[in-house]
Amino acid sequence: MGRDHGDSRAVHGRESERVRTLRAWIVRLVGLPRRGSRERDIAAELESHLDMHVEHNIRAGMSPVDARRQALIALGGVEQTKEQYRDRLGIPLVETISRDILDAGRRLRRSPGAVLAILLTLAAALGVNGTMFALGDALVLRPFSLPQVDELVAVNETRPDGGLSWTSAAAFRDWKQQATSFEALAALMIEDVEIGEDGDPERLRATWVSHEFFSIVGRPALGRGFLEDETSVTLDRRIILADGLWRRRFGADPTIVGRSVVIDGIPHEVVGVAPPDLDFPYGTEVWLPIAFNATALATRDARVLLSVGCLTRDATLESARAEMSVIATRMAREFPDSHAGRGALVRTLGDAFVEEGTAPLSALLQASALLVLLVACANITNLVMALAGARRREVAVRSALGATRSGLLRGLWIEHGLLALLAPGARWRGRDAATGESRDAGSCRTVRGWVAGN
Amino acid sequence: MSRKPTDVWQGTLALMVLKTLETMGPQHGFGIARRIEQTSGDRLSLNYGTLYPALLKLEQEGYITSEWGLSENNRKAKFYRLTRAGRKQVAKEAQAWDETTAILARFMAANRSE
Repeated sequence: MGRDHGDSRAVHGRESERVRTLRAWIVRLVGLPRRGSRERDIAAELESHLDMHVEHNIRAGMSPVDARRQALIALGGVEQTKEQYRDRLGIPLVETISRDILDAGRRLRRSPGAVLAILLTLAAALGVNGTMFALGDALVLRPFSLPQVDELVAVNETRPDGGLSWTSAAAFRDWKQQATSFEALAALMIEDVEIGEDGDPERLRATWVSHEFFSIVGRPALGRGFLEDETSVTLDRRIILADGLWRRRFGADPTIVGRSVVIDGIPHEVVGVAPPDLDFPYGTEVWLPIAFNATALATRDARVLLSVGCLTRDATLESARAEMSVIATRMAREFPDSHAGRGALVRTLGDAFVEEGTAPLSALLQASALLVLLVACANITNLVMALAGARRREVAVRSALGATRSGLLRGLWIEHGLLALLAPGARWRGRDAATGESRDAGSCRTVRGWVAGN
Repeated sequence: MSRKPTDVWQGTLALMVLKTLETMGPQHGFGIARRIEQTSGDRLSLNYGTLYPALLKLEQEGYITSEWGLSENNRKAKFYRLTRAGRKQVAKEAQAWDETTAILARFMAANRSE
């Protein structure tokens, strides 16, 4: 019975001990700013303690001088006591570091020339690196600010001579029907149009898309994507504006959806405005629905369409490739006139839309930027050593006063840290590919239901 | 147990302070120090300076509180007294000590007779 009690008490005791320790830390943390008053407090308390001890000694028969001396000895050193007390009062590490930071700031201010040189060198080098990385990021790593870009692919036909080509509406329709690797498959065609109502015509980059397009790239910010009916001859007078165009030409009019704009002389109804960071294909200012008509669907060798798709959860690039290969072979057998010797190739968007030499070039630029940074560091090292040389006397004095090696080193670390933090890295804000991730479009697999009527 | 000698001493001192306050009621630092010295039969020559950080620690942990008041000789002094948590802690620690000494006494006796 005694053993059980002991155990539960021991566990309980350790728990409450931890609670108490935590309370102590919190008190110390909260008390950090109010150090001054507590300092006066302990000084007063120690003085009162000494006075009482001296009084006690005098009453015991000592002379006043002896009484005071004995009391001081018994206390064990006023300054030491205060020191120990102070250590427990606040959080010594925090206080040391904040003091170091202030000291470092003061020291740096005394050599403004060297500091300025270091900051500028660092800023320039960091700026160059930042810019080169941003460039590489925008061109190679994340050239499309599209949701779940890893699941997106481009599908092309292959020619008998091994090259790639676009595809026809009929082939696209067949691919869509037969392929199971894609959550959605869209067709697109890039062709400029002219916008203009009252004598203010403008040539615009336009992309004509099938209705699945906005399932893949994400829903428009205003309005909706295209309905399937709208990609037919009867209802295709619809248009979706790019954000830039909407702001520039229509003053970011919030009631734009439903209004009419004139495209190539024909009124089109605005059904949506794309989000600000949708820039796919690059430079598109308006999206229009492809009108799949009977004639187009019959001609298999009118190859005008690009095809972009979103892989299903279970499909991989390889599996999609294999499947499309099979489908293309079948098509070649069924329609030898138009499809003999032709296959289909599935590629990542990056491979399809980014020019071939871009990646190596970007890597080269970034490597050069790194070299610049190395050179800058060498320069900065020189400057820092010059600073240190000028400070030899200060270090000697501080050591003599009792500064430890680790204390001096810590001061140096903080000083250099301050320099590094203060150097601003300016960066050319090019295409901000990074913002693509903040879009809440979700996976293209879940977007499908949004297009119609949302 | 991996407690350093200084930790053990600090723990002992803390317990003595708490017990003193329990017995004497509210008391100032000097008084607590004197009392500890006296009750240890003057075998303990306490470095009075170590008392104040110990008192601060106990206060931060919530076992005692302090406030300024007047001593017997009308001198300004800072008085400490037990909180309820402090009272519970004294009882608990005292019991733990009793158990430890009892176990150890039995152990020593058993080994001595062999």
